[in-house]
Amino acid sequence: MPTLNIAANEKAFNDIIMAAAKKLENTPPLTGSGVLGPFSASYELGFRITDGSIDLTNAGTVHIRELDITYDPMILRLGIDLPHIQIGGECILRLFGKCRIRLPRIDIFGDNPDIVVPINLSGLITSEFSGEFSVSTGKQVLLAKGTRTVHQAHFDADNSNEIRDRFRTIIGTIPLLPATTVNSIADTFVPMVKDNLADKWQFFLRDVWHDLDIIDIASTAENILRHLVDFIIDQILAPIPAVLRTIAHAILDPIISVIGAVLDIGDDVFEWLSSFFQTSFGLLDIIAQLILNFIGAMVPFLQLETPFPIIEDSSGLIPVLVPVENIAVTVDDVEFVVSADIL
Amino acid sequence: MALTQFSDLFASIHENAINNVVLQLQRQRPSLFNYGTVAFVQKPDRLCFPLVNFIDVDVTLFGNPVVHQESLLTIPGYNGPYGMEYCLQLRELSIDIHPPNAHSLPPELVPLEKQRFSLKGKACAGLGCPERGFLNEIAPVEEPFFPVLDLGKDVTQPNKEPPKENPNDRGKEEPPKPPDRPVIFDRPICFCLDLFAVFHLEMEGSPDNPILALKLDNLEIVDVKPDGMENMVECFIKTVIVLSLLPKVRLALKALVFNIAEVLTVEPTPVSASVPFNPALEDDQIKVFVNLKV
Amino acid sequence: MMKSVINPNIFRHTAVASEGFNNLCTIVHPLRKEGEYTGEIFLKKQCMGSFQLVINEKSESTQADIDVSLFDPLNIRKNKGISPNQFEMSTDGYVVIYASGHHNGVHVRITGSGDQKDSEEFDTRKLGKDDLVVFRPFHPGKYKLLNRLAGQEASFAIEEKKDGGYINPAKLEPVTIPLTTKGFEIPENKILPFQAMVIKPDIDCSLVLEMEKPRGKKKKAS
Repeated sequence: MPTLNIAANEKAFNDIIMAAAKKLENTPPLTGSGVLGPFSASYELGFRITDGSIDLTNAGTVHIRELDITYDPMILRLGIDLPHIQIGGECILRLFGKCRIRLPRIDIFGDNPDIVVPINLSGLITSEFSGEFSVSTGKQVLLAKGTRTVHQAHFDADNSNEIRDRFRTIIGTIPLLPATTVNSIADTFVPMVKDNLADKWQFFLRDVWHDLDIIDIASTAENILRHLVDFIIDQILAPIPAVLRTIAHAILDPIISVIGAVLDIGDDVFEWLSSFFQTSFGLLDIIAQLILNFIGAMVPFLQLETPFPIIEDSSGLIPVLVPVENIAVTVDDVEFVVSADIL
Repeated sequence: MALTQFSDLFASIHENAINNVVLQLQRQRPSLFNYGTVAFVQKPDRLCFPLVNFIDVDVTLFGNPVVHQESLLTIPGYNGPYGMEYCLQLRELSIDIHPPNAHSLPPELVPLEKQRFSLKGKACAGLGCPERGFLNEIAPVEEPFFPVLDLGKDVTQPNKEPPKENPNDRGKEEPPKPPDRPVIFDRPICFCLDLFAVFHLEMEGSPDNPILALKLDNLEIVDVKPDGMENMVECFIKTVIVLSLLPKVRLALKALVFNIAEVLTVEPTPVSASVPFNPALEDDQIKVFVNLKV
Repeated sequence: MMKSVINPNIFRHTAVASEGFNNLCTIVHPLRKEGEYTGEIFLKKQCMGSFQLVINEKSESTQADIDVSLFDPLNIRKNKGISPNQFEMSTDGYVVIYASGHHNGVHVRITGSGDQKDSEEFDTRKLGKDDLVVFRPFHPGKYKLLNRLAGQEASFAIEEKKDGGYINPAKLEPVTIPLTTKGFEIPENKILPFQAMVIKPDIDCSLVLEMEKPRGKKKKAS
């Protein structure tokens, strides 16, 4: 029989995990780029956790239910390499069915017809994350601890880069993330785990299944997306006086239909946005992986030092440290139990 | 039945774990269990129960005391600078939480009531007894007694009482100073007594920082005669425990619960019909019930 | 803020004169004699640049497009020092002279070189019945078309469609406007923005296009 038991009911466990998940909001915005047909696209994406709950199951798993993630900031930048649209080229003299004189063509765009159209959808789009996880434990033993005694390891801060490097390796497995983004995300999580050099029992959630979908788009965002082509064209025509804008609109007619065909938004904006996120950036995978790595492999939701400081130091006396071994985790639909032996 | 049936969080620790904790306490805070005068502080290997292979290496590494220093024992009637050396050690401590099954209690403490636990230990004392030769050397030279006898007119004392050095000092005694020089001894004379005590737990501190504290119910020393001496020694040890040991052994409850995010706070589950005792001493365990606040 | 990519020169001018033209006007002139010619481009009174034109019977090219804006030293620098100053066309070809940039008040003079040295062949300030003049106004409003030499004028309007629905100019057919002793014969009095107006003079002319009344604006004093 284990000599130490710590149990949390479903409600307490929910509060603890949700508080930990809130730390995802400290992640620096994701940035990345991709393609959408002939367009280039880049994004800047941050998170807010706005809702969700945790259930414990009789199968011994933790069910994260409908974790609502609102994207803020969320800025998409579409890079459009504009084709050379020209006025002119009409035939003004025909002889014997052949054109003898054709008017020269003049480019409607300048020398470098590339534009970047920023689309700000911050706070307007929400995803829902659900998943089921098993609980696993592991013991972190830092190489930096070296030959220190247990009290030396307790007192000495971890000034090494072991945890940082481990996190960077894990985050680096997410595809499409540039190295600078990998490092800044990984480095954000390090302070949640880094402590002293003592060994740690760590508790993680391991992925059984997960699902991430876009579930809600605010009407403002939906309006922007439904009229995205018009939005883009309006951005291009912005410098032109209003009285001439509709005329210029007619000149841009060839590319309007192309842009529309490429974007292919259609009536189902949800489906389009999900597909756009995923196809152009693999973004849903990135976000899902980020959550999984945070929850699963990287940041423990519970961390216990061993030997455990049962009486802290005072007046210069060393703390009383007791070894904790044989950690086991039991989950059922009522509670989450950690048991261990104090040796 | 679920462990968290009546609270958000639950923690329990078995008496075996507690005994391991007490063992670690003895090894890492030896000065709580070993007291002695200067000779024993400077050379702990002279103690009745040597500690050299017992204490944690970090005690020495971090310069923590092994023996808590006490003053020299005053010699009654002696006004000189010397005092006797002694040591006192508490050893072989074990705990038995209700129901009693870890060790047997003396008849005076039976039965072990519910929500109580008993502590068994050995109290060892040692006295540094000086050699006679040393005593002869340091014995003070006092003025001899010069009796003046009245034996009638036919018998006279030819020698008169020598004058006192300072006639004004006659009859005055100086207040005794605490001894500051230890009597040299070879090895202490040691004896040990089996000691039993019964305790219960109380919650102290604030709701933000609840602390478990030990309270002493009763204490018994086995087989000391005469009874008066037994009672006296029991009284002395009780006083040592209450004033010296118990205030130093208090457990921060936060050490037993999760400590993840700044937004979470914990508080003990209020006592009720469902949770009549918090913490509870039962089933050979200490059980703690905690509610979580976000 | 997004960088502007629209070529602002396209929407710069609302009036033009053939004697000193801008990007609203294209002048077409036939050259039939084989030989080498030199062209000089003047911005008002200053010579901006020159070019060589070779007319060769065997050439397959039926027109030489000369963009006067490319001779601007600034544009030459942008083009890394390259300016197109060599042209060739056949004996039944046409010189097509136009401006793609902001330049206004341009005229071009082409003279013969070699055996035809110094004999004037063409000056855009003197247009005649062999020439074609193409105007391409765009701003909605009422316009006047003038032949200064004969004192002739005509009016027309650039149609405004308030809610859009303009036709892409690439799909518009040019409107041919004969200029005779009787004046301009404008077949339609409503022209669409950027629709090419091809004026075919039967007489010598110096043409002016000016906006009589822009939509919503008072006429500027000349």
